[in-house]
Amino acid sequence: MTNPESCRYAKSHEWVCLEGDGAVVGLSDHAQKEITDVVFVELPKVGRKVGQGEAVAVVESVKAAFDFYAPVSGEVCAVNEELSSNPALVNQSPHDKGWFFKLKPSVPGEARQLMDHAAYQEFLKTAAH
Amino acid sequence: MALDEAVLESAEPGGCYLRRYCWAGRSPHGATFGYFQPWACAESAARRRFPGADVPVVRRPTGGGVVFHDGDVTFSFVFPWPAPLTPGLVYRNIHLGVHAGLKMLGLASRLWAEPRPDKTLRVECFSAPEPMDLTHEDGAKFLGGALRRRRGVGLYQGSLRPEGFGAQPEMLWRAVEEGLALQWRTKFSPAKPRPCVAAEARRLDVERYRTKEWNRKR
Repeated sequence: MTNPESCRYAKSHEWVCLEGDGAVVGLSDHAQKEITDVVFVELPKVGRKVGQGEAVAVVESVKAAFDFYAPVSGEVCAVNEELSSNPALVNQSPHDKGWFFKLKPSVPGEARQLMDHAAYQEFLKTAAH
Repeated sequence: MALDEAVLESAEPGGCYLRRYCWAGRSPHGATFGYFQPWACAESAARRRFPGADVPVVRRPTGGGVVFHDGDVTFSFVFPWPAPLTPGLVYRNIHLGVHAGLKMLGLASRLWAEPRPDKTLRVECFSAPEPMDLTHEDGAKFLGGALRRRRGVGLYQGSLRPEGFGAQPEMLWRAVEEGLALQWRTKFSPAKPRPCVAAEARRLDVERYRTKEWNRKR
């Protein structure tokens, strides 16, 4: 399980957790609560090179499809296949079993430019989130 | 579909855009289906609805189920959607707007408040009302819609069935226009898409919405 407090967060509510030379990516607990019941998840293909902020996945809940953005640049090296049969994991376990994909970051230091947990909590108090 | 997505992509900050569809081409009817729905499921639903007819069946960028476009008032609405993300609140706002527009014209409607019996998606959008759908007094659903959120902008694609109103579609469209303008505190003016938006729509039409890769992706 990734520790929410050690993750970095994008303004679009994705989290990224660095693990060795790789990174795990998912949707924040706050966002999954707001989106409500996730019924479908479309993930990127393994091997796809993504840029920071690029739309790479789609989540559907209650007839609404949401774009999901890559919080950092890199190459997708694994996806959470369990989400296709059990998308509710995004709601039940956003920082553990509900992870989206893993990637190998291509731009050093990019994750550090994102919000840390405390900054993200402050961001959520603003109207702009 | 293509123009909706092009407008979604190019929306000015804070801008609201309302568009009504006309169904033309080889068939005056059509069917659209949700972004995540399987093609086979949508195609067989369309075949049952339009037996023997060659109707276009197109995957939407929005979620939800199969919608049949045969005499409905089909429209799309692009609007700012910064936060919260909660789709139920957005549906409520849009449908309250239409509810108000209908009321201004003396037409009754009801915002469906019953909870969903389960979380599974219905194949056909109009098979039963969902929370925040608009229904007639007897619970028959007449307004359904689906959403897409991209970079803080929302796209709503809606279908309003005229049956049961005793009113012409033009009057119902007026209710949509006036109600959404009131709810969003905006004013809609007739406009053509900017050339760059029209060009992007043409590209999306050819490269996405008319392709098997898109429509049969699952």
